[in-house]
Amino acid sequence: MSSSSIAPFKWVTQLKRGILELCCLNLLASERLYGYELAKRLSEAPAFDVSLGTVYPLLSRLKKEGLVDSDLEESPLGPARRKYRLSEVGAAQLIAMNAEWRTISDFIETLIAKNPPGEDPA
Amino acid sequence: MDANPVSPTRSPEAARLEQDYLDRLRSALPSSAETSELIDNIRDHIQTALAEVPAAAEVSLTKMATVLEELGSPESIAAEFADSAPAVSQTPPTAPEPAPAQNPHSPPAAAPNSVATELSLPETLDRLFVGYLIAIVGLWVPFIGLYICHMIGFAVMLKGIQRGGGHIPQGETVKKLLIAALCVVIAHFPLSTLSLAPPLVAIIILPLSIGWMVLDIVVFWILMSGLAEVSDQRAPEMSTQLRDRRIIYVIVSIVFFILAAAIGGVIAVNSGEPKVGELVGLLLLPIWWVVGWFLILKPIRQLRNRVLAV
Repeated sequence: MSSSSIAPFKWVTQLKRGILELCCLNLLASERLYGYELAKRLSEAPAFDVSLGTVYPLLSRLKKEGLVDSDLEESPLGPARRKYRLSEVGAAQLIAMNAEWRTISDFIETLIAKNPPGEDPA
Repeated sequence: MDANPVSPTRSPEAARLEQDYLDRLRSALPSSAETSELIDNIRDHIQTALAEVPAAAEVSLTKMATVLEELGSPESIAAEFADSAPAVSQTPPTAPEPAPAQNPHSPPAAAPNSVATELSLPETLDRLFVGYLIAIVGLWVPFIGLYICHMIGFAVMLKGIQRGGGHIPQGETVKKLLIAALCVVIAHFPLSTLSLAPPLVAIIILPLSIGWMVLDIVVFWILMSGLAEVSDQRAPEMSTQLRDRRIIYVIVSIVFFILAAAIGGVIAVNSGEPKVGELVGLLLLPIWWVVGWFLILKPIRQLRNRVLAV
């Protein structure tokens, strides 16, 4: 599947989906977050225009894979709320993912430098 | 529906829209512990988003529609969930650098504790039902049945709250009260087997008995209040019933205790045998089967069935 056969919009959507997990894990690496807080931060980032609801299936998968854990926190004003945190497995995985991202992004930056935006690559 | 700072009142149209959204989401998802958590997250998201609405105001249909639109359609969320399910093989490979020996393509070696041990709401309600049933069934066997079954029943309820009480508001408080009640039951047990003269019974056992009753009332008041808050969201038609029954439970508990103590006390004094007085009191306790069924067990069972039905 070459990039030339994919409409730019679809490619961007796929790209964002791919790095959503990386961003989610990085956000949880710095602090424990409620699902709502995580969804809000991801949706407000200029790079993403994902619907808020798509974050929750991602969280379900990450939890199933053992990359995140959650704790129920009792609230005096209503039902307990679930707060998510990076698990030990997730922390180790994140180190590897971030390293992979840096490698890939450095390479892409190198390629882009040869083809500045606005110029016809041909 | 009662309003509180976190859950403002919905207009009827907004409430119907929200319920329809959640129903569509449940229908689109398979039944599992993961989807139960997903639905809880979505519900919590809606609650939190609506918390921006001033407490005195009512959530309008427009506001609810906006919040749900931001979430995306239930079908899209379910589709994302379905895409995520086999996504273990799509996880990015580990970098060439040495990493801890974790294979991202294999299922977690040890499932996270929060998934393995956490009970769903229906399962938590089942534990509460069974625990209280054990506690009151033991009333049929004087002395030993009362204490042993109460200890086992409260322990079952305690475990249920520990593993799934997060579903119930004030679950931690209920847990602490159940522990206190267990301690009182354990303390009461040996004392009740001693042949104590009436003055000593009054000094030692009576305060414990009163403490037991008070703890019992407070535990079930808070528990039923928590279940009423759960029903506000999951089964609104049951909310009033649950709130009414906790009031009846308090009244019946106090009246029953006074009656049992009075009858038992009078007979004990007249016969000169404190054990006879206790026996009379205990023979009245099977009435608690009926009381416990209608005020505690039946509502828990109904709420559990209602939660499963939606």
